[in-house]
Amino acid sequence: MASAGSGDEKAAAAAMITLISSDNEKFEVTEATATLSQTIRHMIEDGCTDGGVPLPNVTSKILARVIEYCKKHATAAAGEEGSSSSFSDAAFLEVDRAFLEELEEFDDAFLEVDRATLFDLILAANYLDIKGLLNLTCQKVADSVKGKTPEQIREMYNIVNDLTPEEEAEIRRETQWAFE
Amino acid sequence: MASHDALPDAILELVLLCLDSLPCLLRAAATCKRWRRIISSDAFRAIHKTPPLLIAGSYYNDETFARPRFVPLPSAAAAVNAAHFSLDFLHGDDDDDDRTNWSVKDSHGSLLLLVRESCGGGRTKRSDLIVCEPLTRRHEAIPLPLLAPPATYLGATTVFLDAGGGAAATGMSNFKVLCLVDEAYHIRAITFTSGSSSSAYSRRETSIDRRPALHYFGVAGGRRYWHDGNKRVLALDEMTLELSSFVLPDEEDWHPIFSVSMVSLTVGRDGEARVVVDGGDNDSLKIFVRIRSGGGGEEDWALEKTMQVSAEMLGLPEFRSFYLTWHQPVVEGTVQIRVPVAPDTARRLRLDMETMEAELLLEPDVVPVPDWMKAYPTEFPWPPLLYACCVEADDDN
Repeated sequence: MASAGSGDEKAAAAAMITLISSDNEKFEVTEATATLSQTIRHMIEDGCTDGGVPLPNVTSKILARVIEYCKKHATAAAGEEGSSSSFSDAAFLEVDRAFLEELEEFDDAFLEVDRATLFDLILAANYLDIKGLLNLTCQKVADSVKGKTPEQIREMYNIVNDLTPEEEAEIRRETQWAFE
Repeated sequence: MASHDALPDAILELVLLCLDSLPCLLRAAATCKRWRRIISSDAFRAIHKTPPLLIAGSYYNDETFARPRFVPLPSAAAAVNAAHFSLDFLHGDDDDDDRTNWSVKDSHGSLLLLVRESCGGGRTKRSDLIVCEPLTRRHEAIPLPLLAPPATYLGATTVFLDAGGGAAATGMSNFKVLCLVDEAYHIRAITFTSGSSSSAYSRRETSIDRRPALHYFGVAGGRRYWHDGNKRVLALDEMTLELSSFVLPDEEDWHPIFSVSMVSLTVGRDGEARVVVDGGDNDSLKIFVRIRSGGGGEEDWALEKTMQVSAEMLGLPEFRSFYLTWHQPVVEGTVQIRVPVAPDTARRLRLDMETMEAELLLEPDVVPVPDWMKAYPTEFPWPPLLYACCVEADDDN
């Protein structure tokens, strides 16, 4: 998190929020990081974050990952805003591109998790209403399904095949072309 | 641990919405009932964006009425084996004595419309209209009434009509077909409408007397028009098969000589049909509009405007004559004419019926293509209809 340090310090002067996981672990984050979550943003706006924000649906393991994602993306957003005035357009675009590339690399590495963790991240992103993280994780699951046969998909996600042999045959007959 | 059960429907839906190719979606929909139910829901189809690959290729008729052939688009050829578009699942009666003739008549989305005629001993034994979705092999054969020779459905005008509910709504369970076939003294008009269950359809039929001869000159606003070579015009409503007839009013300075190239059909900016007639003196066009639709199929038309046509108006150095084209593409508020400028060469101009301005048309001409050369483009079924299992769900409702 070395690269995120300067951004954190700058924002730290503003306000810190305490997030409390389901297993009662406390996480101190800046408001800029926390408000990537629309759910927490609304709580801050309503002034009900004193004494920490309990998140009974998110374990400390997953919350740590979610905060990691939010810090990175909040820093990137702050970095973009801060640099826009001090660079020429071309230079700004160059910096912009570099930021995006770095973010993409971060996202790719971030998604290198087992499927159970990926599902937990999706649920947390949904509960905390973090659009970027939700899109990212859903796309990751969808990508894992692409090019797979129904049998392979079932195996990957422990899906019980509840289609009758007749229904399966009917589906095959009507969509044979999609199965090759 | 990593079971899909962990994800509620709403989130699983978000995941499945990320699948952007049709084969991927169909395979995902074949894993279990839950995934199938989510993908086939109306809500899912409403949100999911259209996949990039839609047109799969085109069907072409065979000159000898053998089974039509499919030619895939290069972009689609990689995605799906063209053999799946074969029409072999439709049975013919070919053996030593009999032969089956096929003719593709129209296509709409993933649907194809064909006429199948079984012949033997020098006569037609049986005729069917076939509505099918080649990729899913769903098809419905609708028996057609036998015709007195030499009339045949192979040359009939047979088209899909708007079945209602938007373009995407037309499918195997929602289609409407119009068939017009020339017989010796009549034009037989039949419509077929799909019923509520997959195997039932309703049929409506009417007969149009064609003595004296009738000349077809176009379709506009859901009606097909014929004239009798004089001033009488017939209009057939494609949906209801209601027939209207009217006589174009007499004008004192007007002595029309009707022929196929002297009557045309267009629509005004108000969306209403206009009958355009060559004024007969090579310098004017008469535009007629309906002023009253009465009961019993009688209606009144009146002269709306006379357009004077001159070299100056057309922006040509000289001009001796012009002619109308009945197969012109209908552009609201305009009428298309041809002006011969040299042997075998004509300029096409589009005249604005309001401003009288003329626009020279440079794009390639629309030449009517014979049926056996026509391409009938066919799309991948979309939205995916996923019939199996979902039929049960429909019954529950």
